[in-house]
Amino acid sequence: MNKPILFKLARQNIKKNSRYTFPYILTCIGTIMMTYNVSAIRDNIEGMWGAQYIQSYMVIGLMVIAIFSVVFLLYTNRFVINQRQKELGLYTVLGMEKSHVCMMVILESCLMFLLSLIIGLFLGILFNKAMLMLLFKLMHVSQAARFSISIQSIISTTAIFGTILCITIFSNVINVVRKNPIDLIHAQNEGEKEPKSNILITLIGLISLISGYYMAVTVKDVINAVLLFFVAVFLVIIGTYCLFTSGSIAFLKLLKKNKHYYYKSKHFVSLSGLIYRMKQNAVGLGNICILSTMVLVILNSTLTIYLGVDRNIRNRYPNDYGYYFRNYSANERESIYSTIENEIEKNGGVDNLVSYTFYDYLMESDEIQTLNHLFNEEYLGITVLPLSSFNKMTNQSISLSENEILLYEKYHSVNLQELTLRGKTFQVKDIRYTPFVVGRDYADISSTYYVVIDDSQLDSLNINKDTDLSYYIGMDSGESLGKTVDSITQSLITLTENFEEREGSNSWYYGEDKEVNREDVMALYGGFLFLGIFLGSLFMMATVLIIYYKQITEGFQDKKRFEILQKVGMDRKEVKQTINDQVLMVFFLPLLTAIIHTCFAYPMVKKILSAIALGSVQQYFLCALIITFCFVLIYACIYKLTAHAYIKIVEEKI
Amino acid sequence: MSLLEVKRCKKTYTARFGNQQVHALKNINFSVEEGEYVAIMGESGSGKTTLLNILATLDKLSGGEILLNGNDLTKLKEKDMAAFRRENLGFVFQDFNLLDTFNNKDNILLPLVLSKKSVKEMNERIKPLTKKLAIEDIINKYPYECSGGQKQRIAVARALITKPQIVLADEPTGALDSKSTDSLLEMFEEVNKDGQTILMVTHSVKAASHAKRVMFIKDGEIFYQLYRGSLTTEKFYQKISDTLTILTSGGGEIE
Repeated sequence: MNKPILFKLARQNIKKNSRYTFPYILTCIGTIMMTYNVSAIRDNIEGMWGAQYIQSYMVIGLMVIAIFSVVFLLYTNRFVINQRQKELGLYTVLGMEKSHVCMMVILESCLMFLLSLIIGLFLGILFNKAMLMLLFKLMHVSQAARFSISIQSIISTTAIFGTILCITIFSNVINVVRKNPIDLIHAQNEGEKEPKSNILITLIGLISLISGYYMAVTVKDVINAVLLFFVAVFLVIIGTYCLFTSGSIAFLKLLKKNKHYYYKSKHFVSLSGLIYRMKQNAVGLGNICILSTMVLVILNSTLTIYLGVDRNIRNRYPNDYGYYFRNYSANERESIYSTIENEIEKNGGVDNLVSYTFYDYLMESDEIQTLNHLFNEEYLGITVLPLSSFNKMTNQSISLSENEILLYEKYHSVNLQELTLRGKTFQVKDIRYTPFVVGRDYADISSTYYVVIDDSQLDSLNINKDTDLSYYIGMDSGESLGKTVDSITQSLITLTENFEEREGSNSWYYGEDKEVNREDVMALYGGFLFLGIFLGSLFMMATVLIIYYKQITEGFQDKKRFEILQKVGMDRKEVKQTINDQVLMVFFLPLLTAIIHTCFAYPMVKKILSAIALGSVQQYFLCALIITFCFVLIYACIYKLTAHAYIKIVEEKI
Repeated sequence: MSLLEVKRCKKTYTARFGNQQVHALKNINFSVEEGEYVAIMGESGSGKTTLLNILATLDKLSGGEILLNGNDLTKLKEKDMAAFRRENLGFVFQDFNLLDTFNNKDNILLPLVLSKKSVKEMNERIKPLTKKLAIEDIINKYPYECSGGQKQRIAVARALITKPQIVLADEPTGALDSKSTDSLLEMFEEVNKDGQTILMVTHSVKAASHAKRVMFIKDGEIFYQLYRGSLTTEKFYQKISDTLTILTSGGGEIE
């Protein structure tokens, strides 16, 4: 058989089967485009501020996309080739040798690959600039996007998809070689056994889902949340698959047992149809469900983090520039303060200069006990503020007697009568006060309790007023701050060298610049959101495609059934109603489950988010609401479009 | 009055492009009395399946009228058709047309469920049927677990459960081996003895020889009729066979 004919056949086959091949090519183009983009972004932002974060994200992104592409393209390829079994069988029957069919299949795969690669890379290069601009906008970087075609990325993209091509060709050839022509022709007509529900699997599914949910809801603190997050995710995934495959069938069979429910024209056909549908589609629907949950959780959390960034910076860095000093004596603190004051005056002053002392340590476990009935956490930090500092920072003039303290937590107020700290019991004074939090504590992932105590009582907590206290000096100023800070730093170096060495002292200090950190954080979180959007759209694309292919396959399978139903005396309206019932249930089940998953993920995600950067609860809810709404809308649109394709197939020639 | 009257029946297909017309049915006139067992024979393309589809209200006439118990089928409204089919007609097809998603019992009950009958009535109706058709053993199995003969029995049960005025059978033995064919035909005869009217389309002489009357259709017209009278099945078989030979070899003109 000569090459031109094979080539012509391959080309025709792709065109003729466009119902299957078109979405497949589209997927290839999409994944190629994304792969190129992620890779090219990594190259194009080389040397930019915050580039290291984005680059490491993009490496993760690239890995996710690569793994995903392999799995997903193989899945769709399998689907396409399965639909064509009969056609391939026919070629053999008509006298083509198996080697010819193989050649033809290989040619087809190569043609589709080449087409997708060219278009995918072209679109990728085209969109790369837009992507970079979006990224820069999210990162609040003003510089115009540098834009160049990355040869390296083209090569690596081609390599990744070349490998995938080889795998698909391999699996297709195996498929052709292993089956004889009659098998190929009859492949689609294999009779189906009635699905059986496995009680064990249903139970396993129920147990893992419930324990996953339980874990998420009862998680105690951030550290546990981070540790258990993937365990919970894993359990929920297992639970979803088990319940979709076995639980759903068990449930439907239970309904079927109820004779008076089952033998109603409304339920009769849909119910038994659904049992079969669930059997064939359980895994696919599970995929859709998991992917949708991922989209929702990723987008929710990245958006919340991103939107919370300003408030976070404000909390974490209350001043434009701040110094933290640790373990300096009272005298040393004084000379530090005067040195800084001097330098500021020399450089033209600042808008605002604040200073306060505090003491922080991790709580002993028995001390935590007394607080435990309030917050069920294993790790607690405590920050002791001398009353003088507290009054100064909050502009109040509260006075405390010997045994009295003020008590509050970083994020919430605390209702407690008395508190035992380091062996001494204090009365908690109940008055209205404005909480004040040390900026640095916002970065702590655990809860931090604040104890305000009269300066004279510090001794009773074994705190040496002279050496144990930390010291903060912060200043706000306009643009000339940089020069001031430079000269302060210079004089601090000479100053601290002159302090006498105390025994066992490990005094140190550091300064932090709000603007520098803001840029850093923006790069970090902007990149985070970017990746979130990126992966979100990737998973979305997968969801769309799975749904589309499902509808098409089912359309062909159901066609015959509905023909029979019409012959036996079901009218068109009833047929349509039945189709709608089935399709609706099958396609909105994963969406509903995904939304439930997302709700249960909330407590855990909230804890983790509060560690990274707490956006407010309302903000998270708002994000979740908007994103879920958009998602449902998109999902419904896809459903509508594909259901149309489905009904068209079913009604063909009836 | 006859149960079924077909008068001046015409069916013309027009090619989708161009205006070439094909006359599938030209001028069909016949009637079926209550309790009759009629076979329609003819070669492929003679128009017999078209005729059956029209009787089944699955296809529409180009001209003429069909009366079932005095009601004109051609005047039925689209939305009433499904219900009419369900309540007045029973179908047996060559390829059984059973649904794999239902077990045999549910397949049989399907028309009753669609007619919104109560569960109690369903049970009352299905019991004597399973006994008569000897399908008690397979009633809870699935169609894919059954042989062709068993499947066709289920299909017959489905056709009979609505107590239809007339059973329309389209090549009911076409996909069966000889043993199953024999037992199915016997079953048809028995059902007919109980008063069930049957109209069967076939090109199997054997199947037709069990009927009381055989009509031959050729090129869209009823060409010839044979009544069994008091002939045995074997004799009738011979007669049909002879008629067919004449029909196919010389179009009825004796040279």
